[in-house]
Amino acid sequence: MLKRPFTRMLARLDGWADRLYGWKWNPLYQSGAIAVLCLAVMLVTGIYLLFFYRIGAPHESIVRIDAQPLGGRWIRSLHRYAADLAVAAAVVHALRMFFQGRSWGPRALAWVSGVFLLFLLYVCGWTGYVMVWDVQGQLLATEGARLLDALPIFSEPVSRTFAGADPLPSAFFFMNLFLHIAIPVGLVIFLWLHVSRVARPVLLPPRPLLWATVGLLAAAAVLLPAPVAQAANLLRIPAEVPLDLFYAFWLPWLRNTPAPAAWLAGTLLVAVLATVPILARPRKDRRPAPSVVSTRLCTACHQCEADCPYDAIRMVERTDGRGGMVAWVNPSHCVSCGICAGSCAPMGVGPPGRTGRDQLARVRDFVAGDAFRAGAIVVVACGRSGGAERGPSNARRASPDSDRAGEGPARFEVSCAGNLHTSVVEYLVRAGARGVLVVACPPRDCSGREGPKWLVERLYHEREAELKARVDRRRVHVAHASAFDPRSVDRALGEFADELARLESPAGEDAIRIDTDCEVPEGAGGDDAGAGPHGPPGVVSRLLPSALFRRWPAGAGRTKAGSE
Amino acid sequence: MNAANWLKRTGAAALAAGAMVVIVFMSQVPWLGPGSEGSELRVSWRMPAPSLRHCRPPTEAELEGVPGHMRPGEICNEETVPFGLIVLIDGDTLHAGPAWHPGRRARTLAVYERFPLPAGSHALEVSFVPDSPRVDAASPQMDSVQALATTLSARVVAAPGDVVLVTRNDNGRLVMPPTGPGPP
Repeated sequence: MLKRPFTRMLARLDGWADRLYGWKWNPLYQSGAIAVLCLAVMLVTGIYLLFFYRIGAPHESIVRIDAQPLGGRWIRSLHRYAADLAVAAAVVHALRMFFQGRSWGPRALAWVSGVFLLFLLYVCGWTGYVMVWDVQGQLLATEGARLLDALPIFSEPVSRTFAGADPLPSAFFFMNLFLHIAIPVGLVIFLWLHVSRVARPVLLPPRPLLWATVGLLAAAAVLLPAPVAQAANLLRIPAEVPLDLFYAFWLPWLRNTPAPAAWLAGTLLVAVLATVPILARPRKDRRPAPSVVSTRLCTACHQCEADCPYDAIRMVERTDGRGGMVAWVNPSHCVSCGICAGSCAPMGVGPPGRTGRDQLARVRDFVAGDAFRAGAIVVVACGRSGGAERGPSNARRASPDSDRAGEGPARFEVSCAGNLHTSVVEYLVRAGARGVLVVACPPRDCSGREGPKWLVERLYHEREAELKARVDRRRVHVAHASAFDPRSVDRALGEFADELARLESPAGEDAIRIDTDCEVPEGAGGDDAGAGPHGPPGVVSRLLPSALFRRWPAGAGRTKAGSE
Repeated sequence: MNAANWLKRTGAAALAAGAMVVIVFMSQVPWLGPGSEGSELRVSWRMPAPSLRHCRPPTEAELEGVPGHMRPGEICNEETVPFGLIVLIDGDTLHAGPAWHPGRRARTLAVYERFPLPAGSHALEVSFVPDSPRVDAASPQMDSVQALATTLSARVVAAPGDVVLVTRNDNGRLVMPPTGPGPP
């Protein structure tokens, strides 16, 4: 119920941040990588602080570090602010994944490991503040002990250690220091698990954003260094505590809550977070189907395997007697992003209804319908991007009057720009479109991770399933825009129209034949064999239920991805 | 760079700096902790668990099959004596219950209780006594167990944030050590 408004709010924030920072450096898209960067900063600064920390005199050693002439105070502050930013970035990352529907199915492992990463980060922060042994550390230690005493596992109350009757043993600070160092090892293991299901994980933000983040943290550490709070005194109850809201926001609540209730609340929270992959997944009939491979069309070129952002495709031995290899989609890893559909030159793989052949069938209907006008620009838009017809930004807009050609552009929507087969672009250009503007999501915000990247590679850099040389590249342009960034689309459209105005009017072809027969095996019956009245030609249409091949609706601007 | 771009970049930098300032602020929000509200009475110590030892000569059946050099002169059972803690403030019972007891055969007995204490002057009475319903009063060792019982009666003046600590000294008496300003 609340998901839709939050998703819209998130998309709106993305749009604003895109306008300010540009999609390349938008920190919201890099929240996960920023969290990892903060871990790296904590690791480096933590090693430095370790040289000067004394478990026999924890608070005194912190005060001495602060008094170092070589900037010990700054390094300690950098360590602390990086820890705070790590929590903020991790929470933003988790919220994005949840509201974008990227927390269930094959992404469940990433979600659950992410919850544990956040939990470990909190425990690590807890031990870090206890290490300082100031008034906040004292409260964290005593409250932690109170929670532990509620568990029937200790022979005598842990809280007695903090009664104040005896000095605190050094062993306590040693154990605390050990945990503070050991937990990051656990973080690394969970981080590996977190990204284990994705190919080519991006762990750090792009270099300018990386240095900007480190620079901001360093500037904050120098200009606003974290003061050392009053030393802990177990025979005084702290009156004024400088609270770190990122790690100890719950402390005021916990102070007045019985330990069993606190355990219950914490357990419930972790349980709810850990079961999000079950709670958030759509109904069975609404879940997108994983990709399928037409074994008759597959030429074992390995391209879908190379392009799959989730390592869901492997090449296996053929079992049909033809010999050689064939692509195989692991359905438990496939998120149905459809990127393999764009990467397959013979159009033999993809989610049902979104394969290259399905797209080709749709574009044929689109060109034959009222929406398409020869000599006009066609916007091919990812359904989540700013170019989407029913996207949140465009729903409220009047017709895009920035089309300098005088007529509004026709729209052809695809589920993901990386899903788009270059044959569709070729078909549109050869059908007489003045130009084709592909509007993709910002690359770091692609729900299929690498869609825009592969799209550009295929259109301009001869990546397999490339746009054929006979297509005039000047008539094809790619723009990136998030859902609430219509200005970028308008601007790109205007610039593209200006460029196209310098070109001759396109000459549309009447009978367009797209090469799809490079791989058709013996006996397959040729390109158009078996195509139904609305379905794509070739083998895939015969292998799948005809209901999956929906007819492209006629009429301007009512474009809709067939299988979404 | 045109003016609009310059403005945009300045805005972007200002927003990033603002976000960092918010993070710095959230990292050290002043909070009026529990010490501002009142004080605390803390009762805490650890001691060898008081126990009763029951011995008897072994029966013939028990000695049967045991080699001569391994036959015990007597068979003993040791049982921890439960102790109770009673805390009274200004005559009102704040707590009356068993001390933390990890098990029948535990060798140590730990006492740890915390009670909120309103600031001001109070008559305090803390008693540590054997839990009589469960103790075999006829046991000849009961005198030594009774000797562990102790009571502290004192008037305490607690300021907000003070911890009034009651502990047990080496002589087995309940005492209130002075709570100095330095960290323990």
